[in-house]
Amino acid sequence: MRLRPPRLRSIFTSFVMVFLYAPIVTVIVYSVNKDPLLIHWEGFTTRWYKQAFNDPTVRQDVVTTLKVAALSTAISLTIAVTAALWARRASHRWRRAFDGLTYSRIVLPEVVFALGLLVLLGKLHVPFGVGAIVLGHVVFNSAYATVIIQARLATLNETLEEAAADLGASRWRAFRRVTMPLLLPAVIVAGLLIVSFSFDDVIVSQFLGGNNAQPVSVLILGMIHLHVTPEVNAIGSGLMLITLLTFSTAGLITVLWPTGAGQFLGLGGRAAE
Amino acid sequence: MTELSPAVAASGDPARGEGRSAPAVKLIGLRRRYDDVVAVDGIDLEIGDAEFFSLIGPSGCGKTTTLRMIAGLVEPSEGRIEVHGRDVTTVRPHRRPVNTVFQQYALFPHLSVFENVAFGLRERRTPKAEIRRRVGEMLEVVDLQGRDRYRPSQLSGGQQQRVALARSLVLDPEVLLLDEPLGALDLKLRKALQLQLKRIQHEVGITFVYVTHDQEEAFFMSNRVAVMHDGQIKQLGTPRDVYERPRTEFVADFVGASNRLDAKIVVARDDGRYDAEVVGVGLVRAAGVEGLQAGEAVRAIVRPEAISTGAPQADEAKIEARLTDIAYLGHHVSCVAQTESGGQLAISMPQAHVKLEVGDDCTLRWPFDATWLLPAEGGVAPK
Repeated sequence: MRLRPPRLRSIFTSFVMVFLYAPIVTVIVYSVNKDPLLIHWEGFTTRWYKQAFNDPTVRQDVVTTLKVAALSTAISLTIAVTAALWARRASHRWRRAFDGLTYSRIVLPEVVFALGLLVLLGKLHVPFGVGAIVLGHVVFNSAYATVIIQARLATLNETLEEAAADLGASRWRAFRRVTMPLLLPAVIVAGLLIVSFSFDDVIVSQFLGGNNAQPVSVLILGMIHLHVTPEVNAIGSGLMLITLLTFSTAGLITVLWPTGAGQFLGLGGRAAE
Repeated sequence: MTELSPAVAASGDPARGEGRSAPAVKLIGLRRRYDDVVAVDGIDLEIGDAEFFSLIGPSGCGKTTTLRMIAGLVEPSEGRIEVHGRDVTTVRPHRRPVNTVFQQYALFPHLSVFENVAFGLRERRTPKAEIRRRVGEMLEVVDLQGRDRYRPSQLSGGQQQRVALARSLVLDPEVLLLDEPLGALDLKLRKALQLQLKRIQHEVGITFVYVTHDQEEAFFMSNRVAVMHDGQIKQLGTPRDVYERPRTEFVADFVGASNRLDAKIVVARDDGRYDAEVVGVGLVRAAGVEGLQAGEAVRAIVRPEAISTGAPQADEAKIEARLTDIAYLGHHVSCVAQTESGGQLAISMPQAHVKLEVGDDCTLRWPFDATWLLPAEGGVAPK
């Protein structure tokens, strides 16, 4: 095949790539730059990482972020799977109402329901903190997870559950042995997505954290109010590393998983149906 | 082929013995409504032990709904279902002593062939060694030995169908329900699997309730068939019964292409036969549905394969017609002839007997015995 000279779309694509990834590269580069004022390149150092790691506030906030992400993801996935299973059997009218509610949680500005939760929880004297942030994250995370899981569920033949029942499985056993394994790829994808949403959420976390809990995202926002320090870059790069590790582990699991998860993710693997 | 192990052949369930004298399946006034549509409209039926029984009828006749009610996947609106004398009407599907082979097989895509077949045994907490043995034996019965590690998606349609069969049979059900299990396969494979199904049913000695819209398939395999229409059983009997002595025009039409001629009963004879005046043919002495009255408008049913050409004998009916179409179907020829009154007759005869061409006038004849009289369902017989 003859190679063509770069055309407009190649140039355009290159620009997009640069603007997408240049900031990330910048953060990583500056996180190992010796220059504390981030003006010149003065050589490699791991000092900022050490500083961030030894900072008790950073440590505490990372723990808060992980707690919030883990809890909100677990709760959101449970809600999403249950809701998707319910919606499948619901009448047309209920189904439409349900879809409306799901999409509204995705479409509504986060500021609006963060404010609403702030007022409501205040009235109910619910303390702000990790619990309140988790609640806020569940509002949108469960909606995203529901949409993804519903899409997978729609491809599953309901006869499979009938077959399981016919072969002696109770409803719970049929769910455990047939429905859940087949939904798992979608659950993993949804989980990955909402973990990352939880990680970088600022609005809800800022509104509902109160004085007790501050995730890393809010910490970073606070730190750059003054000026961008090398430590912030180190924290950012650290978060990136955690995310990357999570995703590659999950990716590896899905490829090796024998339930057609890989196929669902477009990563090859055996046919599911 | 393999011998059946005692585990497969003998009934492993001690509770089974007592109901042996009762029919394998008994349906009493079974009805199912969906909003204002009645899918199954009052079915009473007894299916015997070790019987190969088929429910046949056009799509939408309620045969699948009936089967699903026996399986417990559809709740009856009214009526009762008994299996070997035990009322299972309100028993949940996973506790019924019946298993189903689904139309699209419904194999679990995430499990191997072995695990698919072992699925029900694991639910019963069968010991591992026994699961291995019984699954192995069952895979041999359905000719799938050596495929146990395959995924369903790696098998052909016919193989998948046999996995579905093995998965149900390994549980040694009191009744096996089959919902158009060969519907998705091509003709050649269907024929092969029909034979295999019949053989397996004979080997395991389990009652099979088979649903199909293909009357030929049902006739080939079944001891008895029930022809369903509009949610009701229109006729119940052996395949031969239903084919040769249909009770209604619908049944006659459904079980095979048949010629219908307008007729009128002249005399209802003491020997159960009738003298009938058939339009265009004249007086015919023939058997028919019981209880037809002199003067009653009826239909005379004549099978295409009973008709031949040439000079009629004394005990034969005849009609003058003109050939309008001839189609060669291998060793048989299918012809269409137009009678003087404008009616059409379908004829099927061995190729060697056809010396006529389209447009030829001829005399069509058939034995009186090959005529069957049944009540007219209003109006003139369809041309």
